[in-house]
Amino acid sequence: MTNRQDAMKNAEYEVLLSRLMDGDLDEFSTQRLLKQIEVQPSLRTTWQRYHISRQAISGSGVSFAGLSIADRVREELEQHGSVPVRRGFWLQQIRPFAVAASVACFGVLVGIQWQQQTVQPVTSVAASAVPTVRSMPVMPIDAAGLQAIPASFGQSQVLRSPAPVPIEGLYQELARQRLELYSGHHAAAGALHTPATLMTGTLAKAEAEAVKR
Amino acid sequence: MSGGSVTDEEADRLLVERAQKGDLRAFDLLVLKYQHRVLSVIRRFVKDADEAQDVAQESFIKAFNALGQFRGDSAFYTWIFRIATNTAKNHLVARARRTPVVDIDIDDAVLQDEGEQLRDLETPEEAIATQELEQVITRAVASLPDELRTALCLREFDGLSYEDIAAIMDCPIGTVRSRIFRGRETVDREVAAVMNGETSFAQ
Repeated sequence: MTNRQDAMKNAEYEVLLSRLMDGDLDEFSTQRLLKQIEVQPSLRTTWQRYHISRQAISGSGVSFAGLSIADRVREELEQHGSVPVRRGFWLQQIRPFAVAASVACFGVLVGIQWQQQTVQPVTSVAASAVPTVRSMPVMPIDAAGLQAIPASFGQSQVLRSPAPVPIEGLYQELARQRLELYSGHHAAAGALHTPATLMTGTLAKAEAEAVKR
Repeated sequence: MSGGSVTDEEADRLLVERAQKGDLRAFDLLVLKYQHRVLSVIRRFVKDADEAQDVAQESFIKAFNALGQFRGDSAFYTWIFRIATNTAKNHLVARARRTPVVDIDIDDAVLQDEGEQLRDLETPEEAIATQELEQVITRAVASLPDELRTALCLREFDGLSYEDIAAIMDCPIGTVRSRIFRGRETVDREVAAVMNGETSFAQ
């Protein structure tokens, strides 16, 4: 009775092998079959013979050569315990974005650093107390633009320019002077803005007269 | 008709998915299925029998380790044939031999008769055993009852699905399933007798 039951059970799994060959097996049955192959190695040999028969029937030809390759492969994999994982799959997917994000962050940090350096307030300190790479006197500016102070040597007093401003604050000082000039000019012009002058377009004429006075 | 032919790709899908999760048993079944065809492809580059089998073994190991990268864009056998081809070429380069001037196309490798390539690898005894095996299978199929032979040949030779075979034979799919299995079982009894008698050649 036990032999008959074993034979029936064996036939049941051979049917599953046959269906698996044809893609007619569901996942649960496949897992059940794979588990059974572990305890019943003859099923593995049956699977191999089924495919040999298929090759012969389909005209692909059969051969005894290479029948041991699967045994060698299985032995090697069992020894080394390799498990295929999707190594680096997600890493490969996000790598371009990670690089772009890194470059963007770097650019932002550099920008912040640069901005912090350029907005540092310029303080007036004695020239000797301020280490500068280069320092040069800031030329006083008149309405016509920069006017150089002529250098003089010898006994007459040398008109010294104000304490040298570090090169880093040069443009800030220049901008401040420009702003003062502009503000003053604008204030004078603003006093001339009357509804009448704006409407009649005589503002420029009125400004010219104000300058002459 | 519904279903059409059942390709290897569809038949391998479940096993490939199990193998990608690390199931060595599933991969083992795939190796058993494709070892001859892979060896045949390698044989085109590597003429020495022992070397060819070593390269085949190496190819399957590489394939297993790279299974995580297989996304099903191509059929599994196409993918593994490509690995086998590259492994064979690398083997030749490593041994400082000239790589073949004419390369082989993977599609051609899939279609070509692998038996012809493998026969060059066989010893004279293996060649005789192979010939006997082919004759046994041919006789076994011819001796099958008509319905079993028809179902089996439509499946193995024409690659038709169970649904199409059921439509052709005008019977339920369950009947087709049963007939195909019984045909295989009958042929397998003959094949097992030959292979068990020739066990020394299979190792």
